[in-house]
Amino acid sequence: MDVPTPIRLRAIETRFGATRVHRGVDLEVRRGEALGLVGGSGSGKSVLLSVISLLKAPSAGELALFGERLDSAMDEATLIPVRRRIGVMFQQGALFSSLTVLENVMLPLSEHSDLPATLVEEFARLKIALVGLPAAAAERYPRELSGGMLKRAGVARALALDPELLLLDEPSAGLDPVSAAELDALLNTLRHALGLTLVLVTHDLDSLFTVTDRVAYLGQGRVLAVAPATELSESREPEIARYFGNARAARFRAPGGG
Amino acid sequence: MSAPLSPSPAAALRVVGQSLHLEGDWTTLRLSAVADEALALAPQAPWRLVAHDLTRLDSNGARLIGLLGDGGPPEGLDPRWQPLVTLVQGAAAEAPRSASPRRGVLHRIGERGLAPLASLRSLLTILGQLLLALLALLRDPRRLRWRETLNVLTASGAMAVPIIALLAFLLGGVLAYQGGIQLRLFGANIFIVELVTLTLFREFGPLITAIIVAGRSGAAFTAELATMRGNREIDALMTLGLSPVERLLLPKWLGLVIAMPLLTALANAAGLVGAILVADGLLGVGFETFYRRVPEVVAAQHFWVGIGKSVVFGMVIALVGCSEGMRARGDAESIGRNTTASVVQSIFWVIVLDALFSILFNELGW
Ligand SMILES: Nc1ncnc2c1ncn2[C@@H]1O[C@H](COP(=O)(O)OP(=O)(O)O)[C@@H](O)[C@H]1O
Ligand SMILES: [Mg+2]
Repeated sequence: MDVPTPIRLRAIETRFGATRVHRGVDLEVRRGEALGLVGGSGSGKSVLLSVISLLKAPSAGELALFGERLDSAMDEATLIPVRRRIGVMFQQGALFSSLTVLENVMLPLSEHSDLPATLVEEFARLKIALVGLPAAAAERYPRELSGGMLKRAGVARALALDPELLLLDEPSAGLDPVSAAELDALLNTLRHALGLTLVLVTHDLDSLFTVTDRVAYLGQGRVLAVAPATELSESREPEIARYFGNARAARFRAPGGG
Repeated sequence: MSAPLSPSPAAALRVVGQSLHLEGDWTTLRLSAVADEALALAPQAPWRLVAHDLTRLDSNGARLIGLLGDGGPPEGLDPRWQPLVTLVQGAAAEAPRSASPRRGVLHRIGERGLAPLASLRSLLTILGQLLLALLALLRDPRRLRWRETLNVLTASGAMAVPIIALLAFLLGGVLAYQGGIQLRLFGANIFIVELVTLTLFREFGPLITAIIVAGRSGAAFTAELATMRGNREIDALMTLGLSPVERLLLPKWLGLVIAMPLLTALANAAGLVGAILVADGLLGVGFETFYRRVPEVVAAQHFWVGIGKSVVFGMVIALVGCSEGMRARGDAESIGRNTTASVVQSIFWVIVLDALFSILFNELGW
């Protein structure tokens, strides 16, 4: 295909003061794929998503989105069209606390398009229904929602502009197994119907195996391996083997393989 | 600059008899060209839709098409968009049109009218809790959170010294200047001492201090507590069996009760310095005259009346700051709103109490 690669990272280094988080991350995400991003806590997964969503500037390395070389030092006029093509769901949800769910989802639509207000509301309600939130949730404020509903609302807002690239930071963390499985199914449906490219940070092995095409393992400030989940879980690299070698992985693989 | 990557045209609509031809990119940011037209045509739905010339489609585009059609896919739709159209139409069937109940004018008037009562009630609740905590503290003084109290004393007391000294100094100068011009007309220069000292000690010293402290510390108390509420830190304290009143509110209250009289004394002194400088230049009434006359003609009770008022002002400012913080809902907007309310209410109560004190002291002959 002649369509450019959504994400290409070359030798990305990031630091907070003296702390080096990434020491040369190389990663390529193909169009239409769902890439899982795993690694221990504090390995820099969330920071890497910030780099990709143009919020945190890497201290060295090259970042190209949709075939365009970018760095966050560029002026907003260049960055905004790129940002509109990316939807981000933050680890903490980051819904605007003083707006209702509906207003949260309407905000990017009304800011970035000159559609009539009735359509903006119509589209926002569609997104709320698409992520499986009950209709009554639209009028609620974030503080009035449960954890699972907040995650869904976050996805709905990230989807508002129909982005080509969706970045999700631990969408199923803290969800009960049923909600987590529902969210996985939702991501699969949305991804295929909307043709999304997905980058998914998760510790949930079910999500890794059911949603992602490939999984990148982040450790020691680098991408240690990229492979389909089944393959990566058999890795002999000690750190990766330890990550997957826990009981949960074993429990999942037994019924799944049989 | 923001030219689309694809060469295909923006969304367009063509009415051909009873059918609508959909053309171009029906994607979110390219829909505005047809939005109004489509909305105008929607009431006559279902139209027969023809989508041979549709170049791109996303979910918002599919929703707009759904508003025009009969729920089925348009004729000639590219099969790769079939799942999208199915998904969107399924979801749209569940999405309600608009459910937000509009509140009537009466409802809103009632709400506005009751709001001050709610804040008064919260004020009294916190006052009660503080008094109970204070009683407990008197019975067992070891329960004092002296560390937190010292922090409040530093932040609300010591750190406020420069601004209060400066403003009181200027205020004293202005008082002496305005009063001095009048007194000079009567040749009553010497009375500048009484004029300045009385107004400063009894009224302006405590008031200027209270207003600055309300803006600095009262607001800070509210913002801090409201943010903690939002993060559920206050709930966390309670589940740990710790009392938010004892840990958070009482230190703030005690801190201001101690800091306010000290700051007021400072404001009095700084104001006096400002006044002496002006009086010296304008009226020839210098430091020595003040030094001699102040203890002679100005009874110490005036100083103590002002200090006593400032203690009460400190109680009120801390009380309002805590009460507004504890009743904030904890979202970003309410933090701002309650902080504003805290400052306005503190100053309101300070001035109301000041007026009441004037009447009281007048009756008592102080
Ligand atoms: N704003 C920040 N300031 C300083 N250090 C940070 C900041 N954000 C993240 N870090 C550090 O970067 C590292 C990676 O963090 P993060 O990406 O959040 O980890 P995770 O992989 O669990 O998402 C951690 O060591 C964290 O302490
Ligand atoms: Mg993280």
